[in-house]
Amino acid sequence: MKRTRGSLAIGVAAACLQAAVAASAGAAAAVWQPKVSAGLESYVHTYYLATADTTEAVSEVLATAEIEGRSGRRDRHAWNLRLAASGGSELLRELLDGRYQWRPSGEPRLQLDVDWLGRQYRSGTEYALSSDNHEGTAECGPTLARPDRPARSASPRPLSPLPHAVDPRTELPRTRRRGLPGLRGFGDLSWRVGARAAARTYPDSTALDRDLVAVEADLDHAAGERHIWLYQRSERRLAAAPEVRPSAWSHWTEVRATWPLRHGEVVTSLGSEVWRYDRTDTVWFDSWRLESELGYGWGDPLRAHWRTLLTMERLDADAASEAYQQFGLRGTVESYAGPVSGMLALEYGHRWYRQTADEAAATDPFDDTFALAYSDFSYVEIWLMATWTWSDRLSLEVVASYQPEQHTEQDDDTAIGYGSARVVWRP
Amino acid sequence: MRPRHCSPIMLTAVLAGVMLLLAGRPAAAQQNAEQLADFIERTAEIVDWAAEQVKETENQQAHRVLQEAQSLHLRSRDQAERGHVLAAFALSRRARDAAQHAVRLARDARGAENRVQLRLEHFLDYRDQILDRAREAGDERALRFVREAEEQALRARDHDRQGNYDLADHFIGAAEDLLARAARLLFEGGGPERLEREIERTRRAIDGIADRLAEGTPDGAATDLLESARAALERAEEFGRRGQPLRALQSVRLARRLAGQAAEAGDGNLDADTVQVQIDRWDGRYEQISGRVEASGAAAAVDALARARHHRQQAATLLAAGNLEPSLRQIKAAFDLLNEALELTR
Repeated sequence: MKRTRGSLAIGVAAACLQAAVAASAGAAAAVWQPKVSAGLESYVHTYYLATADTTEAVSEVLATAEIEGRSGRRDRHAWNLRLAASGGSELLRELLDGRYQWRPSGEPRLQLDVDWLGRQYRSGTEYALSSDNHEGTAECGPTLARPDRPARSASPRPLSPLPHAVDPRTELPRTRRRGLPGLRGFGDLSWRVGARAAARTYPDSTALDRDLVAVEADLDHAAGERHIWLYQRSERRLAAAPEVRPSAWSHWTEVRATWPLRHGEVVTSLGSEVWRYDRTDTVWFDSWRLESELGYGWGDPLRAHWRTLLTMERLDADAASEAYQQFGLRGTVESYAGPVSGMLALEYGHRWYRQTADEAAATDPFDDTFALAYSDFSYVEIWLMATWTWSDRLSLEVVASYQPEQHTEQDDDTAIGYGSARVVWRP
Repeated sequence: MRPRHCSPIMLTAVLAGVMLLLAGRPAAAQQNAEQLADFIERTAEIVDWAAEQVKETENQQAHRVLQEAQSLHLRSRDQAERGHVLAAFALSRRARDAAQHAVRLARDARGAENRVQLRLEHFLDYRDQILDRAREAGDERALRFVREAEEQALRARDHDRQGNYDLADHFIGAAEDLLARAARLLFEGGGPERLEREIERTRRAIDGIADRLAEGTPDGAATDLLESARAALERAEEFGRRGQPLRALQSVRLARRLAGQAAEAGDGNLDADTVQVQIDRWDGRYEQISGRVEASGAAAAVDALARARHHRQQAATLLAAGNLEPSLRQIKAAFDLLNEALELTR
């Protein structure tokens, strides 16, 4: 059954691709860019499972066909469409991503966005969760013009109200609906402010149902080589069964900035995540997580751009055993000019939990005292994303990641590895 | 998971205590059996407490460890019913440790799950903004970054689906980085409007300098530098038309520098040797890179190289005539153009 549905989906996607290519013949201004790729992806996770080390591994050989089209830049009916289908040894995927804009006078007045992703797992797949699923959103909304601004520099518009998402998973079926009324502006100062309402329902476990109401805003400003980005989101989570899980407030804040200094740039970021529950207990407790980066970047991304950063992360929590602080040093180099382009990042750091194992210990195993304790650890993160361009049409894309953690308690050691290599052909 | 809140020494002491109690009188054994029952009962509560937290997340690792805890707990009850006190105690102990481990994983995952959800939602909004700008600018390189970001975001969604939130978090981080690079290209290039403004501003500056020069005593060297500035500006426009905003902006900056050198006035404390050293340095640099530039076949690079040679010759002529300051400006311009020529071959 799975295979039948998967084949059907691939067939539909292939038909769409053919139709899209055929349609391109009649649309002179439209641009279509096909892409075909084939390769191998592998994911490995090693951790301790109660009595012994366990290694989970998922390796997949897969091929992907994709086509992306878009109308002429100044068309009255502007659209873009991306269709992709992939078949692998573990699962099949289909992707549709499209947008339509009605621009009677050059400025968008109405916008429709559609995004859909389907997955069908093969029988015997190594993935732990293997129920076929699909998810998608459809958003539609008018856009408003501001008469006091030049048409191309600013066009605030309500962010697509009443999108809809469906996610029928057998593991944990859920439906999510959300709406995002708001305003958006473009130009040197790009900004956005809006409200978000969402409802999550879990048919098989109604105690998990919840409603979400949030306000959010962001601002992106560039002046010369100075750049600042601010983001704030405050969210109220209303639990359907507050006696089972309490309702809560959460606040997310992010600030990123770069400014020139001598021959390079100073790079900094600050993130904050606050959780406040209406009722706290050993499961649900208030917390404040803070992370920051400060560093310096130099060089030209078209040749070689270097960056070195100090990273810091800190968690304060009502549950003392959770609190920690972490420091790291990250170096990155990136280049996007030669036949081999991409980015390599390496980070080394250490996390200290504020409460030691001894402090958290329950002295008598027959006592009712039960305390959680975490172990300090050093970590390494290696990230590589590279493209080796063989010709205008052919390239090799590699993504690799390795993240081992070495704990003071050896049994807590863990490592995650990911590798992907694929040959891409753009006919 | 090794019991962290119960050291090996303590565990040994407890087990020894249990053994001593077992070796004692029947009444003591009876009391101990009751204590063991209480211990197992408490373990059941702990495992239930862990299950309550684990069900809040779809992290499969936490679910697996919890299943192990539940299995160990059931086995400990079974051993207790058979009267195997020591085995029952040890299994119950391990069930608690596994429950602890599951809770830690679930708590970590819960935080990561929320972060991944938020970042995915924000990624999609931010992507739309960058995509709009990249399409508007017709910047193919920025569009390519956006597409690569989407690939990483797709991987993040896949791993989010599998409950691998740590990895999903890293993929979404990589996707955000790629979007930031696209944004940087667009911001540095500034999109078509901003680039147009920069070009226009530079053009006005060059015209203003040309007017000022025309009012004063004719200065062939300064006029020459302005011509090079105009040529650099034309290259900037060409790069802009070809959807290469970063290169366009680099050429705009060069045009400004050349115009600035043309406008520079004043007579510093220069001597002929200092200027000659700069000319010799230029000659050495030219030797190193001229072959590469000419072999590249890039017309813009060859053009920049030709202008660099021209300014070098001007510098030598002016130096021979004793015009040190104009000569220095010429050789500076020659250096800038030489660097640009090399850049254009990449």
